[in-house]
Amino acid sequence: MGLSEKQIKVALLIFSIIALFLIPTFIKNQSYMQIFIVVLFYMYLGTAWNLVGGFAGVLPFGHGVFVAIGAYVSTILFMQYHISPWIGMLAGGILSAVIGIILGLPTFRLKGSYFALATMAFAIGIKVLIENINTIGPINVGGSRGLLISYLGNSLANFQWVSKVPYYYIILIMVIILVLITVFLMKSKMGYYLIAGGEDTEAAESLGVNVAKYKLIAMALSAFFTALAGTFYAQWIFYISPNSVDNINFSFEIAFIAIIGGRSSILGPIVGALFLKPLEEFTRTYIGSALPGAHLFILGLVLVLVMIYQPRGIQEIVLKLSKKLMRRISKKI
Amino acid sequence: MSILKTEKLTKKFGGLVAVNNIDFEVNKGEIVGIIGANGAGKTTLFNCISGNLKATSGKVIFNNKDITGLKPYEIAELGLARTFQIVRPFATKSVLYNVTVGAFLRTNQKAEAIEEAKEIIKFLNLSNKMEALAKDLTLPERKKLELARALATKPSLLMLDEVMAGLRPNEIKDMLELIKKINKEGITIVIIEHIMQVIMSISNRVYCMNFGKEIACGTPQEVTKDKNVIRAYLGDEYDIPEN
Repeated sequence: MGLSEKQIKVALLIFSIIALFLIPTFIKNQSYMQIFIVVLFYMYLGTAWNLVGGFAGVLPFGHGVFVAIGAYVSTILFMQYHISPWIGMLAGGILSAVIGIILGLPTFRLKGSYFALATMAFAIGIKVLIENINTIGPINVGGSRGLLISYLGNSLANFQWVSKVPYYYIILIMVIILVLITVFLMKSKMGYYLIAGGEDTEAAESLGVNVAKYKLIAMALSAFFTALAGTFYAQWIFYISPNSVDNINFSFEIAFIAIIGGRSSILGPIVGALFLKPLEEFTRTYIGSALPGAHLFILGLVLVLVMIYQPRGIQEIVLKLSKKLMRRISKKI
Repeated sequence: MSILKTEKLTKKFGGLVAVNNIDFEVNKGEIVGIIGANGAGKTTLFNCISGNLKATSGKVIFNNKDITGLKPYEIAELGLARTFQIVRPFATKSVLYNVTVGAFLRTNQKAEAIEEAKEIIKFLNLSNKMEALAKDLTLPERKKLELARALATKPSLLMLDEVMAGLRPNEIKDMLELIKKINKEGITIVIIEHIMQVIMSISNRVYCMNFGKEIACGTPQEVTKDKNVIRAYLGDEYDIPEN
C-alpha cells in the first residue's frame, strides 16, 4: 500500500480545486459559465446559512433579507455615492450582522417552527417595506422598481466586467474562504459549543455553555457572510429589486439546499448545490416548457424523500461512497 | 464547612408546592443522599439549585455566594455540575466529543480540552467507547457518559440525579465504586436515588423528602429508623413496634 486514505483525500481535494480554477480556460461558452456561477453562488449561500441553520440547530427561513441588505447597501453606496462595491460589501456585511443580532435577540427564545415563521415574517415584512419606499431622505431606494447598476467599465475597483470569468473566480474564492472559515470554526471551542447548544440546549447550559450567546454569534456571522453574496449578486446581475433578492422562495431555496445536502455538515451545502441546481436547471429546460412549474414539484418531491429516507442529507451517501472508493483506490496503489 | 445551602427554598407549580421551604445543607467532601417517593420533589429541588428552574422564593448559597436566579451556565462555571435523570447526550456526536464540550469550560485550547476529556473517559472505564456515537451506547454507558461530561467541567460539587436507575445489580456496583472514587478526588456529591440500599451504602448523610417537604435528615441508620420515613415509604398504617 503506497498511499494512505488521508493522502488520497488531500490529493483529490487539491486536484479538484486546481480543476475548478482551470474550468474557465476550457469552457468558453458564457451560458455554461453562468451555470457554474449559479451553483457556486448557492453553495456559498447554503454554507453561510448552515452556520446558524445547521450547526446552531435553528431553522431560519428568511435569509433573503441579508442578501437584500448586502445588495442594497453596496448598490446605493456605489451608484449614489461612488464608493467602491468592495467597501460597500463590507458595510453591507456589518449592517447585516447587526440586523441579524437584532432579529436573533427576541426570536431565539422561540422553538422550532415558531422561529422559522418569525424569520420568514421578518423577511416578508422587509420586502414589503422596500417595495413601498422610494426614497429615504436623499437616498434613492427604488421601491418596487428596484435599482439598476450602470456599467462603468471593466475594473476590479468597480467590481464590474463584461465577461463572466472574473465573477466565476470571485465567487469560487468566496466559497473556498467561507468553507475554510467554517472548518476552522467547527474545530474550535465555538464549534463544539454551537453544536452542543443545537443538539440539546438544556444539557449544554448545564455544562457551562451560554447557548444564547453562541447562537447570536453564529447568527451575526451567517448574516455577515450572506450579505457579501448580496453585493456579489448585484454586481453580477446589474439589477436588484425586492422581488429578486428578498423573495421568500429565494430564502427557502437557500435553506433547502443546505437541508437536502445535509444540515450541520460542512459538505452538506456543497453537495446540495451541486445536486439541486443542475437538477433544477435540467427539469426547467426539459420539463418546464411542457408542464410549467414541474421543476418546483420535483424539488418538493426531492425534499420530502430526503427528509424521510436520508434525514442527515445526501452528503451522508456521498461520504459513504467516497469512503468505499477511497479504500479501493488505496488498495490498488 | 458548608459548600451548598438552601434557605427556605420553595417552588410552586400553580397550586402545587413541589418544593416546600427546604433548608438543605451539604458540607465540603460529603456524599449526601436525597431519598423520597416518586413526586416527592427531589428533581425539582435539583433543578432549582442548578438554575434550570426559577425558585418561587428562598435562597441558594454555593461556596458562600448567593446563586439564586443565576443561569445554569453561570452556575456550572462556578463549579456546580449536575446530571439529568433522563440522559441527554449530544446523540449524533462521539463520546469524546460529548466530554470535550464539558472540558471546554476550563480551557479555550482544543488540544487541552481533548486531553482532559480522554483522561476522564479513562477514569470512568469508557475508553473502549471513545469514538462511539452517543446514540449507539447502552444505558449504563450513557449514564457514565452523562457523569463524564459533568466531571469534565471540573466541578467542586456534583449533583447526580438517579444515575443508577435502570441499571442491573452488577452495573450498580460498578457505578457505586466510581462515585466513591470521584468523591475521593475531593468532589462533594449530592445524589438522588430511589434504591435505598444504594444510597445507604455510600451516603454520609441522607435527607428524606415527601410531598415537597423535608421529613427527616441524618445518618443512613437514623433515617431508616425514622417513623416519618417509614410512613412515607410504607403507608400511614404501618408502624414499627417500639422495643
